[in-house]
Amino acid sequence: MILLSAAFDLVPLLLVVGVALAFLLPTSVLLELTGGTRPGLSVALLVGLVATAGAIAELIVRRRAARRVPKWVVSLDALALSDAATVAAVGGKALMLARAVRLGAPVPDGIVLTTALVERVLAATSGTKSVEGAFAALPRAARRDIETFLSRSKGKVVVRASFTEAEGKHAYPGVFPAVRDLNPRDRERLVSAVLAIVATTDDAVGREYRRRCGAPAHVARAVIVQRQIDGEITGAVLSRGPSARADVVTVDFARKRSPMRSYGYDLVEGVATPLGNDEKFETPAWVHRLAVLAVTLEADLGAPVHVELALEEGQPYVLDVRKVLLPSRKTWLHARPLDAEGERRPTFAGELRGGLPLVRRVLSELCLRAGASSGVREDEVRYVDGLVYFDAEVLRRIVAALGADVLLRGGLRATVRSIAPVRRRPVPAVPTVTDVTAGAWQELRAWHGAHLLGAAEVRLELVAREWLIRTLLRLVDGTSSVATDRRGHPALRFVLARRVQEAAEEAARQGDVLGRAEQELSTAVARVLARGAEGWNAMFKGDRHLHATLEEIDQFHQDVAARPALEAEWKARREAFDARKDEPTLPRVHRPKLPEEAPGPSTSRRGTERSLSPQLRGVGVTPGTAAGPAVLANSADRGLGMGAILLVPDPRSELCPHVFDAKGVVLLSGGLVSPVALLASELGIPTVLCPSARSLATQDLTIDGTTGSVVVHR
Amino acid sequence: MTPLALAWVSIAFPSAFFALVFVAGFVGRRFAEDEFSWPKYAAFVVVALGLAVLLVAAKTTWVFLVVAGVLVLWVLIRGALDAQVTSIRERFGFLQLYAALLVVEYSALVRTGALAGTRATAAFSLALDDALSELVLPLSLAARGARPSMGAEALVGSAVDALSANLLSVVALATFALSAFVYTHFAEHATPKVGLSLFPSPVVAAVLWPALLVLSRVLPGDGLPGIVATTAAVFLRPYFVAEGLWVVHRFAARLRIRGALVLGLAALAAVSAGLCQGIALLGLGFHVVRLRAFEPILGDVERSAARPRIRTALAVAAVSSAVFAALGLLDARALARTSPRLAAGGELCDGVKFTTTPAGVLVASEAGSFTIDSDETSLDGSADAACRARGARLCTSDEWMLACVCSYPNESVGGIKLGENDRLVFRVETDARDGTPADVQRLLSGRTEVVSTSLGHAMLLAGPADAFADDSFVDCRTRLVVTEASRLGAASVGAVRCCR
Repeated sequence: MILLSAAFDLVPLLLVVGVALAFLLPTSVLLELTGGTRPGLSVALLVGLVATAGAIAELIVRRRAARRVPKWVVSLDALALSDAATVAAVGGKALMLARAVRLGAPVPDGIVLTTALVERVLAATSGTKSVEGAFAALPRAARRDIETFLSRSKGKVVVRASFTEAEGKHAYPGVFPAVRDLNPRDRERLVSAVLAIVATTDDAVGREYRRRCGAPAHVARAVIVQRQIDGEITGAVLSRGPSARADVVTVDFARKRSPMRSYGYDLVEGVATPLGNDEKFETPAWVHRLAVLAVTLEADLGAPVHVELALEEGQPYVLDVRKVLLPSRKTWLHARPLDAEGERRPTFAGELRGGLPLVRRVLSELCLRAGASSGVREDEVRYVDGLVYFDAEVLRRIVAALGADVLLRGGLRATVRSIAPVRRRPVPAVPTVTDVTAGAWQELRAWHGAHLLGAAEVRLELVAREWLIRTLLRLVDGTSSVATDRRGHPALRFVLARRVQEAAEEAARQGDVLGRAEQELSTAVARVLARGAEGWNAMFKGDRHLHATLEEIDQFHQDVAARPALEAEWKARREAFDARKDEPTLPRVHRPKLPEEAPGPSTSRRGTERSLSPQLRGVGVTPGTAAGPAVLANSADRGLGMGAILLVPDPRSELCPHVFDAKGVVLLSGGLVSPVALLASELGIPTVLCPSARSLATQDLTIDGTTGSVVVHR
Repeated sequence: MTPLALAWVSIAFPSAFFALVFVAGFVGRRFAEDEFSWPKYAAFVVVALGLAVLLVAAKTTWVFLVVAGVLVLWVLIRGALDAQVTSIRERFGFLQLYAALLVVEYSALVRTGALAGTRATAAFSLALDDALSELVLPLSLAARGARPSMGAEALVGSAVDALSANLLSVVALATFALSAFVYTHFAEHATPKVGLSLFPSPVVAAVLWPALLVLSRVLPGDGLPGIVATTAAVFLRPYFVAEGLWVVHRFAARLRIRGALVLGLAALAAVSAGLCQGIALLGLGFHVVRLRAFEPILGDVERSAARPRIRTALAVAAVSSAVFAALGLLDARALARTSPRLAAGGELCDGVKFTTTPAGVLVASEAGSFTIDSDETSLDGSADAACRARGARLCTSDEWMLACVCSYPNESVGGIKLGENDRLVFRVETDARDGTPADVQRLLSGRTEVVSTSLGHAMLLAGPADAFADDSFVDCRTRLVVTEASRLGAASVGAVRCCR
């Protein structure tokens, strides 16, 4: 009877029986030992048993994986858990991909053939030995693991080199090209691909790169075999902006049969802007996500990262992650998520609004709300020229934590935190100071502490929270109207939008109170202090107190001897403040200063010489100047780059050999973080991005990689 | 079914099935079509329906098996073709594969009398209990010594009850799992998410299934509308269970053992209707409440290790076969302790003499003599107590076997009685009444009888329930090992024969 009924379902049924008995039998033994017969106890025991068995199994699996030293072949998943893998064994690229896997980033499935195995492959094919049979000569365990991976791989596989360090100044761009389109069933092709990649360590390009950059031939000789991603979009993301600025992420991407474009993704506004041209561009959801993923990876790896990526059927894949060495640049932001209106405020007004301690507290809360483990340090907020600034690293921490939660863990925590009701604070009556008495100052101080600080805090919190929700929504749903981009919960989307509105309304209400109270308080304080100071001097007839901190005014009251010094300090502040009154405020301050940035392509003419030398404005990529004839680079005209300015229409890695001979490089479409730009940067060849230079082939050019200018000499 | 037979089945049937999968995959790759062709699809449907009709109408087991094999191969080939694409065809391809395999399963269950509505028949339940109990028996005997408050056999009984009460549901789940295995094996593209999204219209399913659940509760279970609603709900449930398991798998992304966790949950869901329903409701909630919104947006891409492999499935089958065989050997030893003469061969009846007495039939042999009831007595409570009340004791398994083997005038070899026609029981009972009045009657007809209660919460049964291995012979040595719970639940079991 069972024979027929189990004919097709036997394997699943056996599984059912086996698993059920595996848990039921120990449960029964436990029940017999405890003498219990209640059903609740049985269920509790069963659940406890399953949970305990699961936890023990998880621990064992993790511990074994952590101790595992890769010998011949190791999967990226296993490598992600291994603490014993070394760069010499698996190479830097494999280690970094494993790190990305550990973080939860979408890395295509793959295995790593260790240096030891690659040496075996070389030995098996050395001399006159042919490739045929080389696979069979590999260690049995290695063959088994490779076979297992390949037999389960559907579609093509790609073989990549993992020869270098995980970090360092040498990126080897275009030096170790991958071998693509391999049939997973063709073992001989796989061996040939491994040999071809190993051979690149000593080919002309490799030798030239080593000579010019002083790089070692290789650190490891491991190889990665991965599922090939035939992406409809390919590109790269640098977790920093052009010139290493901290408030921007650079995104390069190309659609199929289209040239590569470069974009700067502003972390504050959540908008990608084309670099080098002023075309209109609506930021797709995946650009938001990949830019934030790069920031998340940077936070995990502790250094700026360069991420190669591809989108296949809408799913982004991380193909390569590499730490990069960039010049240190500090960026200070007077921007969201602060209540940044760009209006200079004297010290006293800032103090009334809570000063830097309040800013720091609110930003720290925002960090924690986003999921970051640490708050904001004292040195990460500052008050300069009447504006409150915070370090862009704070913003990056917030974005990284939000990205890790939303992009890699589903974002439930961030959403729950964001949909919490908006705190509404009762609006206090603003006091009117009519009776100027000796204790009036202390009364005003008390009122300020009791009401005004609270209003300021609520307002700042709401502004920050509104920014966080908008950023969350951008990550989840994007900003476009493309339905497939939208991943958020429709009901929660509604709630979140409502929260944004509530936060904005409440912030405006509190802001209104704040404004009136500030005005009233300021006048009252001036009157109180002017009266108090009458006996000493008439300094308070003016508005010098507006440049005092509250503590300083306290001190002024208590310590007569300190008054001259305080007065001098306030005076100096007022003069400095007044001197900058008419200067435009800077929402972003970069230290050291950024090279001159061009707003977009334009042609300017200067004097008589300008009529002969039109100047195009682009984006500087690699500093320095170079002059020479312009040569259009494509795959057919190799060698023409010698002593010339190379015009690169599409910066693919195949064009990298041209760069060695070029005096300068002009990227015509994009590719700020492409292999061509990276190689030019490592070789110190001046590079600019200037799409409008497309028609300048064969003309004499002078390019400036610092300012991004291209001068045409006729 | 003995563990040894189960061991054979557990390797033979998966091998045959996966051979068909392999062939279908090969053919599917050879004839992969880029463009969907309505005429070809119509031809497929017509042939499949024709085979289904033949399946239902098949008279003999062999015809049934052959037609079932052809039908399965036919839908597998179609599945291999449809799995190459990612359009709506993929969803229909999976649906037709699952539906066809379930039809074959359902037909087999009905044909063998295993299914009554959505529940197992008493006979099937008993057989299932026997199979599981025999597997557990050695472990149970080894564990005995602790306080017998709740034996392993009792848990097996609970599991059997659960499986029997939800047999159709369990079969649907298992068939769905098998279809998913085959389908993901065929799929060329990224592994499809096996769940509600594989249903042609998830929205319709999300509305329909809860409605069917309510209807199956409201409508009378014996009426046609009730049966249809219940069956349809059972048919759809695996989609939701798979969705629920997928949710667990997705949200346990950080666990290395998440695959095992999901498999464990799936297995426990089969023996726990509550857990099964809970997982299905999780799947429904995930879809209706749009919990998908909280999937990691970027992570958790396809892993090759997640792809099903026939080789692995066969290895599992082989291992389970070996385990069954090993348990079978242990089981045989355990039974031998309880009934030492079961394993004895040769001419058992030499020197055995039957004499009718007022107390019953006196069976005398060289080893000794005992008196056995000439007929069985219905049993309501404890078998031991029933005999004690009559001043007797429960016959041992060996005594019952000796009476069975030696009392009828059929040729016998060891414990096997040979016959020539399919009315063997009728004939031996008639022979017994007409020819040899001293014989013990209704040993192989009537009800199955308790012959030992020395197995903790399990007991040995002998009699017609499992003795008829074939149309041509019966085996007096066959024993059922069942739990107390199953015995009480099965109407065909419940007789006792006492000895003195």
